[in-house]
Amino acid sequence: MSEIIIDPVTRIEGHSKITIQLDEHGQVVDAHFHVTQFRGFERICQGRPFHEMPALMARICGICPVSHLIASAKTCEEIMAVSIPPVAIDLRRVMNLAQIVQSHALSFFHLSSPDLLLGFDAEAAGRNFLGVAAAAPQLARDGIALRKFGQQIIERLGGKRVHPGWIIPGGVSHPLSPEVRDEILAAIPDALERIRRTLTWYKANVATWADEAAAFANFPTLYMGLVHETGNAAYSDGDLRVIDGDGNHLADRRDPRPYWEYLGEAVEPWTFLKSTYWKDLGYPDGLYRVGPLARLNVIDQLGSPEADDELEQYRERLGRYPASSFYYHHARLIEILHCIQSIADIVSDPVILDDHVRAVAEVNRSEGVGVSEAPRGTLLHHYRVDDNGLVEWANLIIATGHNNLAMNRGVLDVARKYIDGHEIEESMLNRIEAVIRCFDPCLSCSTHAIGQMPLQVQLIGAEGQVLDEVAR
Amino acid sequence: MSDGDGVLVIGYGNPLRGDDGAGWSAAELLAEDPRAAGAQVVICHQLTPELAEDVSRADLVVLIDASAEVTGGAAASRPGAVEVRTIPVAHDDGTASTPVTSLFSHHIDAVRLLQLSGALYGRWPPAVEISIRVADVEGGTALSPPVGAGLSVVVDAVIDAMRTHERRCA
Repeated sequence: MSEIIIDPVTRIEGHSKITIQLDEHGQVVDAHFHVTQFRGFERICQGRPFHEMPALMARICGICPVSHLIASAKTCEEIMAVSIPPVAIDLRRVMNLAQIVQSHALSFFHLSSPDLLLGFDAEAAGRNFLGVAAAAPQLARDGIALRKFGQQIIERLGGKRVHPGWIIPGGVSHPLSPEVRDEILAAIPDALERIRRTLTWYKANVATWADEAAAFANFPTLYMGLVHETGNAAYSDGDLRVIDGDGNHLADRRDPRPYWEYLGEAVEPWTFLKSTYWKDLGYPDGLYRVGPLARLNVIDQLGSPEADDELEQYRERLGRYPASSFYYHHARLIEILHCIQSIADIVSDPVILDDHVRAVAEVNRSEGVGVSEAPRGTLLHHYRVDDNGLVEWANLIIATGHNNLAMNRGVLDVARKYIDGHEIEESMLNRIEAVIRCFDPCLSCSTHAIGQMPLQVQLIGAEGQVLDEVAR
Repeated sequence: MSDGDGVLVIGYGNPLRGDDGAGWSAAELLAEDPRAAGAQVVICHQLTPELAEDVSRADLVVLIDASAEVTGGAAASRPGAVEVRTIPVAHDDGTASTPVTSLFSHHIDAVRLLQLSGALYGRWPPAVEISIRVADVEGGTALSPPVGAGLSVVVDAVIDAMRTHERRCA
């Protein structure tokens, strides 16, 4: 048995390694996406007052702290047994949508566009965002501007762009001012122009990535996401819809909170990242995907006209339920468009300036679950507290955990397609990393990872000898 | 002669990692210092491409960071020692005059930030990097005594850089 190790995978949020096992004939027999680091927020929070949880849990991630704020605050509101003011729900939606814009922009422009623009086989030293800036400065400027658009809304609402504290148990800490409302609205036209231009660029070039689209985690799975009562996309609230690869509903408008009834969590010795699976199908057959690709598969429509036009084109071109994870990229762009339009719609309603934005209560239940859509997929927080409101136990299920089985299967498929012989080829390395990047995994969220390592790839022969080694 | 928006000061680091927050703390002091009146002060965790447009608009960029690297002699290796470095300017073709390393993720170094400014927005303003040698970057919000004491030296170094730039432009 031989083994190839990619350590770490570059240009993802956090760090990991990949091992690919070969048999004595050089054929790939297995592959694993390892998450090797651990911080343990579920343990750190024990003994802390429940109302501290949103601020504490937001520290899990510097990219999507808003998702953790929302899921955590909703969990606390279950414990408080309160319904929060409708304006607070809408204000949280604005911040969540802004976060999806900035996170998707980071994933598409900063992390993935170097592969798309410069080629998956371009020299690694130049295949980065600086390379994009040199080759296609308008694309780079659009990426920067779209990320800033989302970050500035978060900063205007929450006081800072990373780890804002505005979302609290019971609602939000202060209402929206007319000045901030006007600033947000003033930024909408420029953001729309930039995402329209990017969608045009992507659609004009998508044929050049046909090989990757065919090979990158291209298999039917289940898909999971939140939907409104209408069947349209829901990001901060909504109920669960799960479909199979043919669109058959395994669950629809289901209360997502009792997740233990429908999800299992498997633990493997080679990774700190838990693998969740759809319980009815068991482990590992119950693999499913979440995030942009899955959301566009499970929803009927997005709910904003221009984005729905894009969604219709996407479905006409790729089919109603695209299976290739390569199309996470396209789905992200369509979601950016929808999020910008939705922000404009919400903020344009005069009721958004209402100053009743918080409900107040103490502990009325001993347990709560909060669910929302993070940029990378469905996010669940679950806490149990004692009579004094101190957290006794917590469990977090993060998008990257939902996608773990699919990512591993995707790595295996790409390895089988691109590995030939006992030497490490750059083309194989590049595509193994790129298939992982499609999912935009956030290891900081899923394992609370910290640290960086140099890229190391080893090919180990049947007798355990190193046949080839590459450092990047 | 000024053709930009004045002086941009960027203090960056992680204030939850002890001395790594020194750049953050120094920038907070500068924001309150009347000698730095008129300068735009940005405080952030790390340098990101989103800063490139602001950089391109500045006449002078001053970057303040904590440093664990020793580039000078024995004196520079003392915790709290302050080092001032002019960031190399671009070559004629706009490329960096120091080797370009692979961009690992969504954060970049000072040279790459200036390079982005030049490539995307057409300006690579003069820039100075002021770093303070760290003693302790374990978890915590407090600065170590030598680094805390060195903050006033950092602030004075920023003011010196601003005045030097003003004299050159006069």
